[in-house]
Amino acid sequence: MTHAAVFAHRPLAALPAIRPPAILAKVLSKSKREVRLRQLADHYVQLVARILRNAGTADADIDDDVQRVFIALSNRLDDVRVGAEKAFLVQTALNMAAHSRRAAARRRETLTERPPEVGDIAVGPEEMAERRQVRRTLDQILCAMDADLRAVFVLFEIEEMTTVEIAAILEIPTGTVASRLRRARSDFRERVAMLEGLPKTEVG
Amino acid sequence: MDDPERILDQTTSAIERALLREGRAYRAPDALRPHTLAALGLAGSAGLPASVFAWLSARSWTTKLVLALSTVTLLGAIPLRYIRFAQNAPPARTASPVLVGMPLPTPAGPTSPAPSIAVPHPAPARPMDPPAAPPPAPARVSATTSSALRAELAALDAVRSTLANDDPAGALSFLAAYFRTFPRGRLHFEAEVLRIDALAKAGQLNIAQRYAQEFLKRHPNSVLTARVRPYAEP
Repeated sequence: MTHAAVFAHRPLAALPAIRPPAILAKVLSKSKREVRLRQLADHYVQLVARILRNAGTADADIDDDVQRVFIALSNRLDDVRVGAEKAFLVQTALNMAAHSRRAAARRRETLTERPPEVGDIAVGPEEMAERRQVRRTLDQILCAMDADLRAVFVLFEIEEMTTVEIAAILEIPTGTVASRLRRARSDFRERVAMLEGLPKTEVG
Repeated sequence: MDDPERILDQTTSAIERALLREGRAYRAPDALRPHTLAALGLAGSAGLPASVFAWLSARSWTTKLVLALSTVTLLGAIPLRYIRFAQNAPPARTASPVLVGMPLPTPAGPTSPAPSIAVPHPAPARPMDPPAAPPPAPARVSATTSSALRAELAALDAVRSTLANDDPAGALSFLAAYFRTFPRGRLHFEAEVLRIDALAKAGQLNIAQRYAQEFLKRHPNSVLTARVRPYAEP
């Protein structure tokens, strides 16, 4: 029987209503999960990499640690409500970076051996334009900061999050965030002032 | 509570500005995204999610039918594209395609089990043995370019699709071609894990276990260990 004959015998209007079978529903459910994961990776890979880097993960470990963060998300995806993925990723990245710093310390391969001091890396603005030098200096300053202060500083000053967002992510009161931020900014400015060879400035 | 003004918005210090801008400007290499997707087991099938997503949100069955047809066409194009470049690669001469170009877990003995998987290439009597003579120079593709990376992703996607269709033998032959074509591919680890998946699915549990154990031995800190570990356990 030709195709024409088949269609002549069974007009389109007479076709039964299409219902997706159970296996298709299962495939679609898996696809939805994959779509969600892929979208999250598209949106947040760079954010996670940046947070890891600024929170103390060595450049060479960024690739692996970003993957670990997303694998952690993938394992817990069903528990993470829609809209809360960013907070989960940031929190995991901060934990991962803390782990990375501890591992680096054990290997005696920390990014910096000591905090910057006056006369050590005293460079002018022109030289600071050299990005590698700037990056190294930023690493040294952040590395010298207390881990709790550093997390708040990175999220507020570099990731431009609000104190309310930071409080939700770190699961601490906003007052604590404000106080840590104040101390972190004071620490940061003090160290930059030392680099500039200027006396300590009052920090707002 | 009002947030304080950010340092970058208020500072007059060139150093503070340079430092904070550098912190904000950090950007990981572009290869990070495909690496992450591969670690999540989502390598390749770049066009699939958008189609599926559109399919899910489409309201009319006509739209769904059109989207389903385009998705099927897209999925069909991936293996076709892969077959096209696989045909350019010379066939394996001395070893089973399943094992070509792959490091063996242990030195093979005469009693090594022979995979019973039907593969389109000729297999020797003892496929676990290393090749007696170096294989002919394959059509190697440099994995340094983005097009090569895309080809790798497409190849692994073909493997994944074939596995999803319960065709482990087909997946293994695709993998053999992948290892031949990309001897130093960027997604080698992912391919190794897929090979273990395929071997296990094909019922070759002993071989899968040996590969898994070897993988864990060679890459104990890999992010893929979680996927491999279940196969390594006796």
